Amino acid sequence: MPNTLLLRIALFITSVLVSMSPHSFAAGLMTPASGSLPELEIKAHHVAVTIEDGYAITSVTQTFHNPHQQELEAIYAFPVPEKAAVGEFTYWIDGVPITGEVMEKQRARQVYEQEKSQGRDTAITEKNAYKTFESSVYPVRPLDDVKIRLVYLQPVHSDHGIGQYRYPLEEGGVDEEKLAFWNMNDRVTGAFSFDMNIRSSYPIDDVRLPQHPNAQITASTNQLWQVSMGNQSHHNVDEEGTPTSSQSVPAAASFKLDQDIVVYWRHAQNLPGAVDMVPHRAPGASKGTFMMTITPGDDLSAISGGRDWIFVLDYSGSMKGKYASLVEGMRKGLQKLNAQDRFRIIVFNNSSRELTSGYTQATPQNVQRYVGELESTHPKGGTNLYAGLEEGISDLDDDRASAIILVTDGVANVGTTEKKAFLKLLDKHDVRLFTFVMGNSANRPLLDGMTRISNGFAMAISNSDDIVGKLLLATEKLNHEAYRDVRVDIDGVKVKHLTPERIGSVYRGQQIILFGHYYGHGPADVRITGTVAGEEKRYTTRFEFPQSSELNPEIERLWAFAQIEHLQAQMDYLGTDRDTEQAITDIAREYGLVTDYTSMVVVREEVFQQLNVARNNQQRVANEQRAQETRKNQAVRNHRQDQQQPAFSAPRAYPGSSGSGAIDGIALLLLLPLLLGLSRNHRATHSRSQ
Amino acid sequence: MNHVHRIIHCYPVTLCIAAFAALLFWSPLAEQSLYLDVTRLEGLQATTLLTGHFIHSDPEHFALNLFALCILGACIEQHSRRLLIICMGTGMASVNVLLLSPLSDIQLYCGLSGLLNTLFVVAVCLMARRQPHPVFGLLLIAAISKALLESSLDLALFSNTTWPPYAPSHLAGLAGGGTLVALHQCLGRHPSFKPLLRKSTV
Repeated sequence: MPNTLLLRIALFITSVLVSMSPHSFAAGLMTPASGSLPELEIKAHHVAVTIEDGYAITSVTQTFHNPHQQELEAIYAFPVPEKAAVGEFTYWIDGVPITGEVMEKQRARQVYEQEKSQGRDTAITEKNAYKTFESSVYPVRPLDDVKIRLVYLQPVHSDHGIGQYRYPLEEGGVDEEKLAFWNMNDRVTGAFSFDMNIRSSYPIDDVRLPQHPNAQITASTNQLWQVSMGNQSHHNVDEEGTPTSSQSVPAAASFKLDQDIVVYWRHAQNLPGAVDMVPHRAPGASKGTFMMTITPGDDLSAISGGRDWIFVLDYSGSMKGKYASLVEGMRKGLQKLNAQDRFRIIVFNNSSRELTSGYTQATPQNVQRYVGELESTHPKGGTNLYAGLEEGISDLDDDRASAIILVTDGVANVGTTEKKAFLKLLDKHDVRLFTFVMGNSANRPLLDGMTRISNGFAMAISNSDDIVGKLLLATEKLNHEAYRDVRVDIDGVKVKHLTPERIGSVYRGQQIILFGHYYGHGPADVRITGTVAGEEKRYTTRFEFPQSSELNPEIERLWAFAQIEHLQAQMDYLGTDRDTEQAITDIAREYGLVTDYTSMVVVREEVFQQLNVARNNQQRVANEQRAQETRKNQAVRNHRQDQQQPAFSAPRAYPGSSGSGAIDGIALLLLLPLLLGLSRNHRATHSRSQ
Repeated sequence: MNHVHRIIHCYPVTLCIAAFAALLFWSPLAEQSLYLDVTRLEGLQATTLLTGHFIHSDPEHFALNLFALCILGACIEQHSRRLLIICMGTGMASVNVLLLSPLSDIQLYCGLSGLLNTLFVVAVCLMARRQPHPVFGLLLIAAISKALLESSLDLALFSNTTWPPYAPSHLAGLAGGGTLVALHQCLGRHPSFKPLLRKSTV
């Protein structure tokens, strides 16, 4: 397909960049680069992931070891996983696990410093904007170990029936100050394990880890899959992260935390479009919380006709070593352009410049010429993303459909860098922005915000991703119509605090994930509306909101995190205000979440009492653990709600295109003479028979 | 009433095929398991090589294809019921061969129109033999040109069905029809071929 080929240009560039980028930065223990303090060791790193009921629970248990003769502080940093709500931080003090409590960020730091200054055991987990989570533990005594556990929750999407989970380890290396100050120790000297359980209500055909072919993948049924890998032959761990194998464990090979672990699972074909809902409501509570996942049926038509494509390419200093491949990617891609399409190429570093002279038809001569221009451009300098976008967005042709493809691996650090300015820029123009974001440390909040406001989509690409698979999914989206102005209305029960408030556009294969509170119970009408190519689409169904449902208490935290993201996005657009900041802090404290405004701190139980800190989070964590244990012992539950009254008539979208044999108006015209002949023959035969 | 009886009496095969397509269109199973998925043809799934042609993605798609089926089926059935069945089989086989070949890049397929092109070629040739007129030659040229144009531009002209139209299936159907006509020209007088095309009692 012509548009498919066009898309491959941008995605090929991305794939090339990803394949070329070095693994220099990773999750790990930070030590001052000045050498003023000796390095600690990561003695054990165990990851346990459960994916069930539409969300993932990741539990990371680590042991740090101090091989030196002085007390040290361990600071472990790891990239912020997408949409992850850190809800549990546990530190073993005197062998007893103590769960942290969330406090306002400054106060938490104050408590941590105070305890540290008095030589008492303490730990803290903080969020460093969009870049990293950092857990600090004090003290790590001479020749001793400390153990911590971190648990985060995140909703799990499937795209075209392909689910994806990423355990992020690779740092993007975009925080120059941090890089100058710290050295990262990313080597696990002892045991490493990664264990995942997938419990899916929809059958799964296959599971794969593209960059970890040695992982063991087993399926008990097509709904229950297990993935495990590690550096020891037996690495099953208990809930505290301690290996449970009774057999002798061979000497462990060290493991580096420098490569993301990406797991894909593929749902069976021909599953229906569906509305799933996971509710949580304690018995007697006036308010329930729900997570609704809407998987539309595949009824979006393919797009035909010419479009304008504007490539905005990052050629800042961080692109050195990748640029030659970028040029090669552009050459291959441009050669395959559809003659009906036009393109522009804008490159940016400290400033931006257009290589093309306005919109250019993709003749072989033009392709050769602009590939030559790209070849003579050398990456250097900072990242003036705003200038690149501003230039790309100028001179749009109102009579043609336009899209901007932005390929970047960094953050805006030159010129205009305020998120609000980017959002205003895109809000002023009717153009879709599609961003291909590489690595874990690009400014995702900025790029996500921009694509959301322009009704495009952002696609994160990890070095561990199956790039070809990602290409396919992006291509499918861009080659089809999309649902615009999507709304979900619920009548029959009172629903409040729906988030996201504005859904915007939904592309082929994407799911809509909604969180909200409900009051009352009983049947409700759910209406999903939107437009496709200007034509209104409407899907309806009816199902029950339960009076009580206790098996998924995590839904409350997921709602809270989604609400915090919504408030943050609001501030990004309208400007920071104290009330919204306070609202975020209040939600984060109530639901026990680490955010830009709150941190989670652990002190001894008696210190919690002295500080008059209620153990709300400890209680919440215990409640969640009980529910997880109950779920583990039950069969996989089906959360599809629209079985009685299906909202969608078509099956959901899958990668790999579909086609139909279709008679059109011209074919019908061609049939007319045959119809006349048929009629004449029929009459003749009939009169003969009479 | 007489007229309806006459149609049922004259075109039972066409009506049965149309009824089968209608049954599948309204079948609750259709949207889940009867599409032709070229990656899943093990065991019972192989039946989708047949059912896939009778599944339609939306009412418009179904109505247009059914209308065309009734005209083309009747044109051929007027001549020979057996020939209509042969044409249906050849049309399906032609489209399936394309879908399973490396030439095709699609995974899921549904709809009658690919095989309707086979019926179209045969119906036009039958009609031209019975009432020779240049318009039938023009019809064939127009149909082939349209299919070639659609395939080269990777779109089906003036079609707006839920599933994107897959123009090469039309070409495959035309090729199937052309092959049948050519076989008839070459072997039509051969004694073992004649019974296949002998006239029905319409």
